[in-house]
Amino acid sequence: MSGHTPKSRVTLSEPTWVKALIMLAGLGFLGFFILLPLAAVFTEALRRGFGAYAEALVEPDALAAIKLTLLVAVIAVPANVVFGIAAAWAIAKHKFPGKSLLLTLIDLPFSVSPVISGLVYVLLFGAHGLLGPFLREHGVQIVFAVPGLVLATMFITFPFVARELIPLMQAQGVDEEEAAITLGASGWQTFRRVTLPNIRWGLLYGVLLCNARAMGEFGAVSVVSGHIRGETNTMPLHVEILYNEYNFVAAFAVASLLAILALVTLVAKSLLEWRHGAELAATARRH
Amino acid sequence: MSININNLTKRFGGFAAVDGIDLDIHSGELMALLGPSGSGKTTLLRMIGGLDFADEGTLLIEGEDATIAEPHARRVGFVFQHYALFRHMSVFENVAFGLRVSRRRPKISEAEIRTRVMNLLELVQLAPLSDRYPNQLSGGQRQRVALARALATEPRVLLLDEPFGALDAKVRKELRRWLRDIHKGMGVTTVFVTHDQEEALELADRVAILNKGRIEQVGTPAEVYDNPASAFVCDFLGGGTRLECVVADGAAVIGGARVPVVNDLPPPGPATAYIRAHDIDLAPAGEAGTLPAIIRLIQPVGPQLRLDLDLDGKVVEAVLDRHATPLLLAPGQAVSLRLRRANVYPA
Repeated sequence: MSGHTPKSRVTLSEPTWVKALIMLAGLGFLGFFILLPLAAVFTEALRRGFGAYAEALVEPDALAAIKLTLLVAVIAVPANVVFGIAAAWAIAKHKFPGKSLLLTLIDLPFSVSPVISGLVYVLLFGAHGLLGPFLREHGVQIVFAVPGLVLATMFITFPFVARELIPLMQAQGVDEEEAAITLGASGWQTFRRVTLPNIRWGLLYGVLLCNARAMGEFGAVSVVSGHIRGETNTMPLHVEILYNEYNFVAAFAVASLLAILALVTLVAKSLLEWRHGAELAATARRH
Repeated sequence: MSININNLTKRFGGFAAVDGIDLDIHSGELMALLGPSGSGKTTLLRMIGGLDFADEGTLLIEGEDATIAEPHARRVGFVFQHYALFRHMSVFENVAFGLRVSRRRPKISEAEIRTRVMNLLELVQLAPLSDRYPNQLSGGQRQRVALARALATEPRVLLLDEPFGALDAKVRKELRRWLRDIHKGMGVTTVFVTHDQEEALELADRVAILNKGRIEQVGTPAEVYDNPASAFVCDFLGGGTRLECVVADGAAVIGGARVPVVNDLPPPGPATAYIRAHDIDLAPAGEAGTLPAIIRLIQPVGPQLRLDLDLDGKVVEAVLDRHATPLLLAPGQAVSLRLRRANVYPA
């Protein structure tokens, strides 16, 4: 026995210098592609001091962009929470024809380029679009207005909650729901007292990711926005405009808010994973 | 409360999981549904509980038609195979669930819920663990919580799906005795599903043996064991070794030896005989009515001696009393078998 152990240990592990090299490569990659840009955002934003930074954020157009981004997220995220729970519940807990088709459809926003998604709405609701004349007659503006932004954002963030919940609910099965029903619970009681509490952490996780994407979405929103300053510019669009005007401090100041949002999301996500790892482990990591 | 099942059928796709079953379960009875996996026993139980609905036939509970009744209207308690405890609720809340969602008006008061839940937890000996969560309990404890939860709503019928399937042998034995005591104490009509013949025979007042969605036989444990109605039942209830035989003159003739038949004798001609391991004696070689065999394997198991014997190339299992076997036996030894009795079915 004692003669075997050192030998097998040698064959099973890499030399120290190989390990060091791999780790350095990993850390270098991380530093170059993630930490460096992040640091750059904040240094550029604070290049002319905190005063200029704060000024760039309270400037009316910037404030309007922040407000609009929040408004879009406040509508799109809850809508997708409701849809996500409903779809996951239907797919994970029931059998019905067309189930795999629905699953594929839920994934569609992930597989289509965001620009195309935005374009679809322009083609549908734009002035020369399919429903354009009808909408103009009734005085409804969708494209180049807030409704278009909300629609495009909802489309893009469509899969986040559902995709988070489907594997979790599938792993949990229907046993507990059946138990609740035999104990006399109604459908709604079963959902509220059994199904929902069992998925709460997975749901929160999905909401975080959905929200981060809703606030950070650029491509689809850019197509439907029309870039009207102070009216239809969300934060990512506002950043682009400022940058194109060589107003780097202001551009990076607004960008830093999005970076902070990303960091907060990451911390909250790690906290969730740390506290409720076992429950979330049922979820396939797709994002 | 009595349950009357009449021509109940359930199909999944083209496959009939339950195929025209008739069964009467008497009030206060402890009934076992016994069968191999895929025999339809769990589907039948789920239809009684209202978790699956029949395609054909009727189901009466206490004389009322419950074929399409909602689960809550049937007033049944269901204990699931893997317990299905609410993982985010304490033991107390699990048991209280049925009372909290009750549609009874006026609502059950919090004080009454508390009293009833604690009484039930007392009954299942889990009162000190009422604040624990399911993942902090052992398998046996979870099983008892599941039972207390099912009993909380005072069901007319208690249904249990493989209640002891996931437990180790010792806990299983304890829980069996304990379930029988509770059944006796409360008198609630109880139906349980099992694939373990020993469990069914030990626990139930009557056993229904299922095969391929149909009932093969219903009877008391002694009836079905002593007089299995079909080769399937005999085989499933530890039928022992299967041997070719010929029925003649009121007995089964196996390899020239006449063996008494215990069940209803099939018509004369070729047939299949089942010899239980306990019904084989070793006899001195050459004695009349014996069969020559060779010992292949000897295994002492507790008080028993288990033998694999070679009878004309067929393996025969025999179980002898270890302390009443004076012969010195060894593998390879030639011996003589006397078959005491056989169950015989038409070939």
